[in-house]
Amino acid sequence: MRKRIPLLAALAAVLVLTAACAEPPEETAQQAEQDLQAARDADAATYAAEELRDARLALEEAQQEIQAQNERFAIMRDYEEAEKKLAGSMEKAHLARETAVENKEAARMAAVAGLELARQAIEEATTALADAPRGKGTRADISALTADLDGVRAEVPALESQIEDEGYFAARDKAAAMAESALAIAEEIKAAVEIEARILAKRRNR
Amino acid sequence: MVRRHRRASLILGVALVLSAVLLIPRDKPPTPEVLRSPLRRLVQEAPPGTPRAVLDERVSGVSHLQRQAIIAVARQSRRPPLLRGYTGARRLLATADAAADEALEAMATVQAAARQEALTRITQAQEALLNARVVGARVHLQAAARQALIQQEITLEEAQRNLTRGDYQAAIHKAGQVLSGSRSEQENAARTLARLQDRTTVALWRRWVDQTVAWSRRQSSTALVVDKAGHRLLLYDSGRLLTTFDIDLGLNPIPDKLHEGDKATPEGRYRISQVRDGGDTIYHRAFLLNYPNDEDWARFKKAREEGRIAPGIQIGGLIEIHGYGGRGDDWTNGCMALTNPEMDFLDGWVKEGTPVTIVGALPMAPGDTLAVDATSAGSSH
Repeated sequence: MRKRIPLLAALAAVLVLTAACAEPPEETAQQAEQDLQAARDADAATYAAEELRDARLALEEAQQEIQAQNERFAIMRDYEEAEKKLAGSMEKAHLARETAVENKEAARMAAVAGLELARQAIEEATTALADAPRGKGTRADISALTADLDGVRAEVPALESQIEDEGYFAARDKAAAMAESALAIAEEIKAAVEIEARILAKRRNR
Repeated sequence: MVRRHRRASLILGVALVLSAVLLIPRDKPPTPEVLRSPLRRLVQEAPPGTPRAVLDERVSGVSHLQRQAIIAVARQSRRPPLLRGYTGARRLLATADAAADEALEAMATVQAAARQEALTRITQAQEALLNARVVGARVHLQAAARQALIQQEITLEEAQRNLTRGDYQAAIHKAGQVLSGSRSEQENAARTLARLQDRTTVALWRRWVDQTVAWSRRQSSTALVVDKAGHRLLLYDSGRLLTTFDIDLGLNPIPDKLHEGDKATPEGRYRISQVRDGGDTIYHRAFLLNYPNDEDWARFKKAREEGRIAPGIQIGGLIEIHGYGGRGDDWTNGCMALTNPEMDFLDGWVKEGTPVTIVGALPMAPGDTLAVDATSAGSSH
């Protein structure tokens, strides 16, 4: 029994020293912050807002846990929970980054498709304008609608710049609004041409 | 022996009681879930579309308080269980909770106010755009003005999409752009309209046209009348309106011409001073007017005396009716442009000395009957 006492004491001392040497997971915390920043850099705030929010919350809680453990007696510190939270934060930050990349690409494609649709609508209206008979009754309408269409066309460079600057949501909105305007102009051209045709038909009948 | 046992028992008993008293906590700490709830609630329940800077500021404030509460709990772990108390931590937690509540309420209020402002701005922008369209429809809107209005329509549509997406700040900004742009266009159109409806000016134009048509009737001769607002040229012969032509005007078509370079078409009673065919003009065919006449000189000199014309600026000249028109837009430096076939047709009717009366508008207002046809021409004066 007496021989075992020093052994137990030594074991207890090792345990105490081990516990006392528990260090805050600074490197992991730094890595988690870097991961969060990477997600931010991938525009997660715009394209993966919820995922970024969760990652940020997990990191905040991990930091609070580390600070709470730092307040305890050295022998009683335990950073396991903080490490778990940091791991969760990093996982969520990775998810936020990946989701942001995917969503951003989807938004880019939607904006580019919107630009193409707007261009097509402008092209259709331009063709309708070119084909419209410029009689006395339609000349004023056609010239007014030409000015309108020029106004829509003048927005194309701004839309292209938005896409270039990665403002995909705004670009998508603008493209949709431009396409709507161009289609409305095409409809007005059709209406003007139809009215002119009716007037001509009436004159012929007289 | 018995005594020793008793003492040992007593010591053991006291030790047990003391241990029990010291190790049994008198207060329980808040659970980790409770401790973390203020920040979680704030982050998860923040109204969508809250500006990032606002949310960050609020998160920072609540996080600080929550952290203080967590630290207060951790500090108690240093004390013997009997002496541990969490009242301070609970107080801090309550403060964090209250701060989260206040932040959520404030953000919801701000978002509701922003939404309302966006709605109001969009409605105002819609009205301003409609008004600009209505007033613009009564005057011949220039291509640039029409382009501006269609671009404002696009921006307004973007603002509405921003509103639907909850991006109220962008919606407010864009609706504001439309509002100021539309108002500016409306004011321009209204100024034009006011000039075209000014009673004195209208009466003067009426008199000019009536006199021109009467002259044509008396002389059994050709006369031309130009209606700037209507963008048309009227061909009269022997007091009868024969036909009208659409015309393109100067880049500044509504005001009266005052000096060179103002791109305006003059208003007044002129005569054709020279008929130019293809060899004398680059515009297919041209009828040069005797601008400036005495009245133009008088107005020019008065404006110069009043300092409305910079020194060095001249009155200008070379105002013509010429070809290469029919574009449906105003592009000349103040001349009136018809299509080449129309100029060829007109060439058969006009000669040097043919009167050309240019007015701002004809007719000017509902119920206003100017001498635009043979019947009214005959009954004028």
